Amino acid sequence: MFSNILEAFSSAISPTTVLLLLVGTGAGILIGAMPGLSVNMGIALLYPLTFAFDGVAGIIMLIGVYCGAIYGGSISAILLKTPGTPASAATTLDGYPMANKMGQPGRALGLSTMASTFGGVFSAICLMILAPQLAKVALTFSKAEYFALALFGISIITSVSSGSILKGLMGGALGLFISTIGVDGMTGKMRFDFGSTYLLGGISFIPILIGLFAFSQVLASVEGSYNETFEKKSIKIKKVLPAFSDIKRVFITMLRSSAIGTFIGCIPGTGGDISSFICYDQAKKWSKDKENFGNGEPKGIVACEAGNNSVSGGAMIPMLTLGIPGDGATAILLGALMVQGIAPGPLLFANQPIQVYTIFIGLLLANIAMGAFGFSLIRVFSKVINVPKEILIPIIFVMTFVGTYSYNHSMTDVYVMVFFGFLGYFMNKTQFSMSAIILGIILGGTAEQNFSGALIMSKGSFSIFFTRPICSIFIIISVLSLLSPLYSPLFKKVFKKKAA
Amino acid sequence: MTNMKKCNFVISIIAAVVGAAIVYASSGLGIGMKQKGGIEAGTWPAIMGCILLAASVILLSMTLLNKKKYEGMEVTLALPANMRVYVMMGIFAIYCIVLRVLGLYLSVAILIPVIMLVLGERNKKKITVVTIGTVLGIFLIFGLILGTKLPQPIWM
Repeated sequence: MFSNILEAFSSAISPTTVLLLLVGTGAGILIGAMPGLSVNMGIALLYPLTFAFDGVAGIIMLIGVYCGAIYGGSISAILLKTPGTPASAATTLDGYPMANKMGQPGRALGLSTMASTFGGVFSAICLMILAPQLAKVALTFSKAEYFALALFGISIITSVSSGSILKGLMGGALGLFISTIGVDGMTGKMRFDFGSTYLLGGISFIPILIGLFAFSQVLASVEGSYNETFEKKSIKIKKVLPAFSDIKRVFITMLRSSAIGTFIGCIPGTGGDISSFICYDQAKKWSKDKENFGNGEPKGIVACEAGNNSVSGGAMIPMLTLGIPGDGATAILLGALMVQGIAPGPLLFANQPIQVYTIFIGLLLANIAMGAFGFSLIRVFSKVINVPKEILIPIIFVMTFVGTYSYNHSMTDVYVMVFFGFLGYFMNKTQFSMSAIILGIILGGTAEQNFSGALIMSKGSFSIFFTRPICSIFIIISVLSLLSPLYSPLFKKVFKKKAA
Repeated sequence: MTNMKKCNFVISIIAAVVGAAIVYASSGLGIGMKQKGGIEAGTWPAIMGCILLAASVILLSMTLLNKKKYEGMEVTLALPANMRVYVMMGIFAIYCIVLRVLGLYLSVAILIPVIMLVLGERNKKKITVVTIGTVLGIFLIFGLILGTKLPQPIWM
């Protein structure tokens, strides 16, 4: 094991990997800082760049984008009261008052940088300790458990991330159906190809990913920018490094929020936005200075930022050990790993330990790099908020075309990307979840193969899914999460009565 | 102004048609269990088709039962801001053809100014700088550094 870690470390600090890590983290911070661009969009846009590199180097770049973008969202949250990413929405509550009312933007940004780095490093260490242990448990899983896990992952993301569970279910079913197009791996039959050589190989998830997450979102930005008047903001940032008195004041809050965020990250379907609000709420409950919250309280900033950045390591625990992504961004990372021939799951730790440890080290280094960039270049990054949308939007559109084409050099992929971009624009307006569709496509093959495999094991009996305890637990939780719109209003009524 | 009730009706119909089509197409592949316990090639897609059908019926029913709630939820599809998006969609539909004919660099040199004009930018210097900068950036990063093959004009 020690030799694997050494080899992974030397791979992670190779010049190419370090350069990609720095580029990814820097790009992630810039993307996160710009309102209208999301973490998922950043990863989707830069994902095609990974095809030029072998192994995990490109994956580490995407991890850098992931960590950097979550932190970058706090820059516009603090300076403009407009979160760059949904994960930084709670940071506006105390970040903007500290920057604006108290006139201390440097202090707010410094606290946010420190907390983000701490939360990210904390969750990376948890990933290194917990993931191998969970992988040992997952080695006992059979095909029935893996099918139930895939179902669990899709149902949780469906029920949490979409405005309507029914529409999330439709999206998930659509994604699962899309994954069946092409040659069936078990029977060898051609499915839904309609005589097309393109469809024979199945529809790649990359053009769909870029279409749904990037292209459709930029179309929404075109709508949002209508009648918007651009005003250049001039912000003077002084002292960024947090004072010792601030560190002493917020340390326990930072530690608590990091632990909460890591735990929330492990639960599929949750993300930095949920984590940051829960951590803020907890910080307020535990604080002696409750009345300061909402008026520039340092603990308020630190709770949100430690909470949202610690989700990154937490979300990678189920992604690497079970092949179930914790959030939309790790769903894309999962797809990226599979394209590079790295199949997440418990066997990954046994078959490709060097790649696993390289990812662990990459996550740790990405968070450290994010902190270093934040403290040294925050004045540069904060200028990004002044880039007009008339310049940004055309560049992003062009990147979606270039990125899609660079994967397979196929114009058909470009047409698919544009089609799903248009579809995604209307689906977003009508409360569909893009994450559910993408997850359906990514997990569809695994779900079908394990479903069929489990039935072969049981000689056609469906009781295998209900007689195995872990399998039945996951199936029950999946059904409960999908039926939650029916019983959660009842629970809310009961709790309201008790509170009254 | 459209509301969620109308959108849900349309979504239910489309989902029902798609679900039914999937089930019909899957029936040709074989639906059911094999003798040794596995599933036929059409079984899994047929299950997805049935889920889509069932979800569309439930969505339609819930929309009819909660008419007032969904009528109150506005969905903006016909405002001037939306028209700008539809113009962009038209531009991209044409761009897909232009890209194939002119290759990437020439088509991007046309696309960027068009998009900026539609977004309301009128400063010619800015448009020129952004266009040249983007084309150069793509050439440097994708063409030179990454060595990625990009679409070429049809005469090359």
